[in-house]
Amino acid sequence: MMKFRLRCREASELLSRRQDADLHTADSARLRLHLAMCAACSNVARQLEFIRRAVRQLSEDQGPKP
Amino acid sequence: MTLEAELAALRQPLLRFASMQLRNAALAEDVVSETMLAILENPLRFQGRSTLRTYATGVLKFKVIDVLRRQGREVGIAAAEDQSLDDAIDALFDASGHYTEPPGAWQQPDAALHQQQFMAALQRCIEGLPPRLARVFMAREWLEQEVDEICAELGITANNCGVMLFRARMQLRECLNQGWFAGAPR
Repeated sequence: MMKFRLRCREASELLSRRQDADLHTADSARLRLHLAMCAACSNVARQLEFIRRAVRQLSEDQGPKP
Repeated sequence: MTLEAELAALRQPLLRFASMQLRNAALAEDVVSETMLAILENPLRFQGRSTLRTYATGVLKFKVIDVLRRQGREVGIAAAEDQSLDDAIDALFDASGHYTEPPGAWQQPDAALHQQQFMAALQRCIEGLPPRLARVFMAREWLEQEVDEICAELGITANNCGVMLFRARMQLRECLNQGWFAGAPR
């Protein structure tokens, strides 16, 4: 039976997975629904994206300077 | 300035870059030396298409990936879990799977990207990751390898890779939250 409601732990796992590959349609829909209702997970979503940007910049700072 | 002199000037930044990923000073030295030699032996390949620094970092990245690939084959990744980190991640959530302390928003995080102190704090947080998680995280986020590639090189399942990336990201989030964003306003 498919669970319709995600818990934050599951949502955070999906947020991480989403950074590596597209989610299945069902997971994607459940995640979007959860994010619409959960401020904490919305914050974490933005923060994980920020961390990706920050690490990329760190690698650029440490390496090439155009 | 001769190519040799320019390369010599790049040695420190290249070493820092290699050390962050290899976590082994001797290996980092070797890889940087190989990189500089490779460029000196084929100076025509670098024809000012980009800066020497960009080009050298590109060459270095490939050599680092080679080293990590060899290490992965030789050493493998232990299946044993890092218990304390598991516990730390578990502690974020209550029995019903919700956050024990709901993460708040970070105020204007992109502004921090311009602050050297923030980048230093980020680096410390990355260095604080357990080596196995750091290896997978760095391969994904720093070397920008695909998950399939990382799993194959390290001989771990895609699921295991995913779990490790999740733990690394959540620990980094906690580290930055505690070490920067939730602290005193800067």
